[in-house]
Amino acid sequence: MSDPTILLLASLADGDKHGYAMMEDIERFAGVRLGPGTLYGAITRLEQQRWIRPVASEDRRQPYRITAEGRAHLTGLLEKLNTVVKTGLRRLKHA
Amino acid sequence: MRWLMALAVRLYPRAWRVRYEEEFRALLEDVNPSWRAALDVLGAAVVMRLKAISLGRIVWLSGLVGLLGGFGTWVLSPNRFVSQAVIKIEGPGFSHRALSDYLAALARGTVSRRSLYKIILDRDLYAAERRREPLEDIAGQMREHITIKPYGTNSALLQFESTDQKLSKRSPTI
Repeated sequence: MSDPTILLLASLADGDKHGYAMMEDIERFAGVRLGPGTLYGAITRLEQQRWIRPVASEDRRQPYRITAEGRAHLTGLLEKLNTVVKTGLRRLKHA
Repeated sequence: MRWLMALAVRLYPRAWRVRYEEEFRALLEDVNPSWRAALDVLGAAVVMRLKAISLGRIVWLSGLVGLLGGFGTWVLSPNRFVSQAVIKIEGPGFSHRALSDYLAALARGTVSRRSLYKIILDRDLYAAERRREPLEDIAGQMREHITIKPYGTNSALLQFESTDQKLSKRSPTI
C-alpha cells in the first residue's frame, strides 16, 4: 500500500492538511514515509484531476481539501481494495 | 543536504514552480534533510520534466536520437569487404553426402596451417602484420575470416571477409 493517490486522499478525508501534516499523517496510519517530491507530484496530479483543492491560508504552508469528486474517487478505490482484501483473506482461510 | 533540495527545486518546470514553488519550499524547510529526501525531490523533478515534454517533441527527439545513433554506428563501424567464390560440383554419382565430404576436404585443405602460410606468402598478404607478428598468429586470424559452407544442393560457397579492401580483393577466394 504505497500508492500516493490513495494515501493522500485518505489523509485528507478527515480534514484539511498542508504538505508536512499529510506526510506525518500518512506515516502514522500507513507506515509509509512519502518523500517531498513524491508528495507534491501527487498533489499536482490530484489537483489537476480536481480531487483536491487548495484552501485559503495566510501561511506559506498551503493546506488542501478533498473535493466531492475526490471523495467519490476515494470511495471507489477503497471499495475495490476492500474486495481484494476480503477475497484474499477468504482464500487464505480456505487454502 | 538542504542546499541540494533547494537546488533541485530549480529543476522543476517553470509553470509548476509558478504555482507550487513557494509552498514546496515551505515543506522542504519542515522535512528532515537527508539523501533520501534530496533524491526524491530530484527524481520528482525529472519525472515532471519528462511529463512536460509533448508527444510531438518526444517523437521528434526519439527520431533525432535514432538518427544520431545510426550515424555514429555507421561512422564508427569499420567497412566490411567480402570476397566470395561458388564452386559447383557436378559429376556422376554426386549426392549430398558427396557434397559434405567435399566441403570437409575443402575446409581441411584451405584452412590448414600449411595452406594458409602458402597463400599468405604467395600473395603477399598481411605484409605489415607479418613484420610485427609471427606467421602462425596471422594464419589464425585469417582462418577466422574464412567461411566454407554448402550453397544450394550441389555447390560450395567460399567466403573471405575483411575490413581491408585490398586484402579482401587479393584473398584466396578470388
